[in-house]
Amino acid sequence: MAFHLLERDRDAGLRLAASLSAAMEGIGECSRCRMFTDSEICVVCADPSRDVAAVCIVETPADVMAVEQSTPYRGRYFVLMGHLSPLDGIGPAELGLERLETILGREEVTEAILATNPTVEGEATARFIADVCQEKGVRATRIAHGVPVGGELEFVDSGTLAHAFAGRQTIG
Amino acid sequence: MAVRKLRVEDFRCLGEVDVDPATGLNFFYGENASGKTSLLEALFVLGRGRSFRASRKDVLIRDGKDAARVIVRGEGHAGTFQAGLEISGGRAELRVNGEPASNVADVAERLPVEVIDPDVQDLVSGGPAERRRYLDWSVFHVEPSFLGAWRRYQRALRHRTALLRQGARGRELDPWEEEMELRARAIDEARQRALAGIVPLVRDFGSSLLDAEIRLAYRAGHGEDSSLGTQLAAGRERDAKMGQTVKGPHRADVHVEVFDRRARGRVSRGQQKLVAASMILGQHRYQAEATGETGVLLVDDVSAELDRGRVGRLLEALSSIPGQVWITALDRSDIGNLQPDRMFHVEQGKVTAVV
Repeated sequence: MAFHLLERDRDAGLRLAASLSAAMEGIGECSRCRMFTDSEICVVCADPSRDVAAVCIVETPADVMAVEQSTPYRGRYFVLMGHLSPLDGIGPAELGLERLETILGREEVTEAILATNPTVEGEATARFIADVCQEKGVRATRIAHGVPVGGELEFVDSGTLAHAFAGRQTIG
Repeated sequence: MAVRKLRVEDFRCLGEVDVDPATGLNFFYGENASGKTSLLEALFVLGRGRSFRASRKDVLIRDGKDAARVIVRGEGHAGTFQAGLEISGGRAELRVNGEPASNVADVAERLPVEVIDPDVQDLVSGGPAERRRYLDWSVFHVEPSFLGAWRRYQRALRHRTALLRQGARGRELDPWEEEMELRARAIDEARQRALAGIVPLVRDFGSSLLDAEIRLAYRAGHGEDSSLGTQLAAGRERDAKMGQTVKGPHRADVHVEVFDRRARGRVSRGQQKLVAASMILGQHRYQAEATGETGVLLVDDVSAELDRGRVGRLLEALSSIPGQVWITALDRSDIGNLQPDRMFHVEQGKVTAVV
């Protein structure tokens, strides 16, 4: 990319450098949900039209963007900035679970949507948070994993297909 | 599946060797240290990712050379494939059909190999790890989803052990133990299904090779009265003290029992070899029946540890099994009346087809 910009578009390169520099200096974490933001509270948490009864829990800020862009979800988020991984020394404290517990303890919250990845670590993180939800009397739901819509079965890897099979639903 | 071409470069004592084997029975004869075993070992290392006689990879490179290579062109139901392995400086690089392969499974699923060599009785007399590996390779070839469950189990197991080492004893262990329980169920079931298929075939080979009934039974490595999760939760203190998780399918075993009407009690080394050979032959046949694809069976030094009568029975069994077989021996006379489809003479690292 650097060569391309040097050869053809130095202006764009400078604009990119300026916005990257601004981002590096000005962007921090939302004090409520840990999403990237340039103010104290991120736009989603600050939006009064958002449904405060639901919290969608994801591993990364990019996951927030993905859910925002592709689903009708209008609740709030909590970004873990990773997943539980004892082998890497990452426990509940590193994921800000204390703050999440406070959020789940609020009366208005009734559902936690666990949208961590279907990896071993992501699943373990979801299970751990589901236990916390149970203590707080919050309904925990897990997003479905399986065959991509528009995909063909023969090209789906065996782990995903096995997962999709186990989670099959009644039709009609 | 059959190997149609094998090329070996600088592997152990072998320089540059090209072999065009027959799809059926191939026989290699030559003196000790001529390179027969190395030839079989090269093929095995490619198919399994490890040697059956060395744990380190760098010893596989020929003295004074930088790298060893093994390249196979094989032909199976799914068509032809090419697989290659390069070992240099303790590192192994795999390629399949001209593309780098990320792990051993990519080659192994195309090139199933089993070996009967003079140490095969370790399968009977050695520790449970040998027998677990034996069973797991069959499951791997027959049930593709097994590998995923196995990897997830291993990962959760390592996380649990790390947590115990960090001093955790409470609910932070729960999610990892739940994952282990979930995958253990899939692993145990798949192993039991495979073993149920293998058992009658091993029994048949056992009765024809040594007139004895061989019984195999799965031992899961954890109790059956309660779930694995409950047992793991109850064993946290003990596991922390021992620095390892002592219950679970990673501690499973296949119990081998030989009932011999004439010789109850201790089983001789020769008999052990035949028990182990029956197990391998049964596995080979099971995989062929369950997947419709036969593996390559490697038999190194066929007559070792066996008296003439027993060698005869083993050769008879080998002549009747489906698929490609590679047999080595010191001398042509060692295979008696067996009629190989192709015969090779191995001498000082050179392999020559004999017409």
